[in-house]
Amino acid sequence: MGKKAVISGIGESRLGKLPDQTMLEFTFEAAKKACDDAGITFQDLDGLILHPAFHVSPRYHIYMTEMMGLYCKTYCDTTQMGGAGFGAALERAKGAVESGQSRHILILGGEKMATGMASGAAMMASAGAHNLDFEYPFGATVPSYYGMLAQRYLYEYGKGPETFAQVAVTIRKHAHRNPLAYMRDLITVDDVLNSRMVSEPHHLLDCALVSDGAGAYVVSAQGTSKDPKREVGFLGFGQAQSFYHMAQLARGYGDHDLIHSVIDVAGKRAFGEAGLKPEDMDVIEIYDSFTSTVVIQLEDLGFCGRGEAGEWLASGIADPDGAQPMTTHGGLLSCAHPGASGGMHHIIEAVKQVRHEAGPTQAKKADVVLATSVSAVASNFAVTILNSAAA
Amino acid sequence: MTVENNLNPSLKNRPLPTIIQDTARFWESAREHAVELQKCDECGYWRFYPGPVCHSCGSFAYTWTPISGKGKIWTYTVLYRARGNAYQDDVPIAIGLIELEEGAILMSNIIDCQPEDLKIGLEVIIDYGAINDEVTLPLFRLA
Ligand SMILES: [Zn+2]
Repeated sequence: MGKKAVISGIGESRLGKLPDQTMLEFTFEAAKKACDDAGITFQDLDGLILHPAFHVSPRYHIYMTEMMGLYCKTYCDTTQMGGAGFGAALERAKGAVESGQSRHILILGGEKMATGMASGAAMMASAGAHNLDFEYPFGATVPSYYGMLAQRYLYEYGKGPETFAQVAVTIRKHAHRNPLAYMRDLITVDDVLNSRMVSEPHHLLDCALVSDGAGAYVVSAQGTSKDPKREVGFLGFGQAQSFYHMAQLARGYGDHDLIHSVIDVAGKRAFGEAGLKPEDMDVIEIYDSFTSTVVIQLEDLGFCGRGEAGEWLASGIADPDGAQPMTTHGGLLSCAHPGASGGMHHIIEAVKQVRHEAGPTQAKKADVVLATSVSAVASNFAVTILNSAAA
Repeated sequence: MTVENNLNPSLKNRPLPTIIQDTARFWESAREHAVELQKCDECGYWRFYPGPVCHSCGSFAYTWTPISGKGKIWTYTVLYRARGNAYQDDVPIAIGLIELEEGAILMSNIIDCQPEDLKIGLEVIIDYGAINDEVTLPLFRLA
């Protein structure tokens, strides 16, 4: 058996619109920063877990390590879980380290959604993650998938679109404190409801940004980084995947359907491993591709009751000065959304919070921090609970 | 918001499905304006999308069977923006998950209505629209 695994380093490129850098440049920049943070070089890495930017090669992880000059790896692969991949990758890296197979594994992702693709092509590329035969011919886009989920939620709980708007309002309060966030002006529920309709009931401000950027983290054997006091430990993990076709998600199985997602399974596993409950989390970095994505997670994870997410958020509990600050960097809605790698920044922010190195977004209490990763219309989930490894 | 001439997309420039052996009968029956789905010979479960195995009991035995064409809106959205897609000028469109009376749910477009006419639970009836000679989409209109 190897040693206990920890997160030893994190790195981010600039986020937003990066027309002056290529995708590979800013992706390797994030990789270099994560290795520097851990006090290791590329040559110290034993492996890579990559998120595939929209790239055709199924061997892209090998290609990337080749460009880094890393000849022999003991773990090298790509996750295919979209936005859920980064949480899931942590669990894989942890396994490789704790089995003794690897000492340092880099998890890396980056995309040039804003300036690297022709206008709107990001949307088409995303469509490939959904069914091209029985969904895309009907004109379905990613915002329309979440629009359908959100509409069903409003119907089942007799709510109005303010429920979703409240998510955007809360997350913007956090972005307001983050100088690196793309959208920082405070907004109201009315601002969200008055923004252009994209796909009912979701308005423009209910939808994630489209950005460039990259993130990276290193998972290592405990005590092998330059400053073990800054190493971040894993308290609990869970993941769960349900179905692919939206119609099949709606038809559901047992207690689950489109708006009763299987993140409850991932959550129970993670909370169980940690021996903690939702209310024990000091900070919650909830993945926020759409405002409805957040609502579903808060309820299915048990932070609030069914149909109560809007009121829960409106109470201020998830605000910067609340008891459980949520998505403290400003998330995909207000900070940056570099495609499916956008979820990395929730985990990177969670690490910063645990280390008390988050600067202007630092929560007062951040001993136990939860981060979620989601993709494919609320069907693929990973839940990670972190604390200080030295604790 | 009210739209001119109701929601009646032209279907121009819609993405085309890849038709494979497993799904050919579905698309053929749509072209004939008489959609058939697979009904399990063992447990009677109607499945959609087409495939060799019953989602409910795992049986490989099935019969392609015509549907009544009646269903309800399980959920829907009206999409106003599809920038970057070939059909970007053919919006707004209503996209819905239609729960057929046989139990299967499928994604489709709800046509010939105003956005404000749409409600979850409303009854709908099947209609058809051709993208080209090979592909006809099963569509739905309010009953
Ligand atoms: Zn069956």
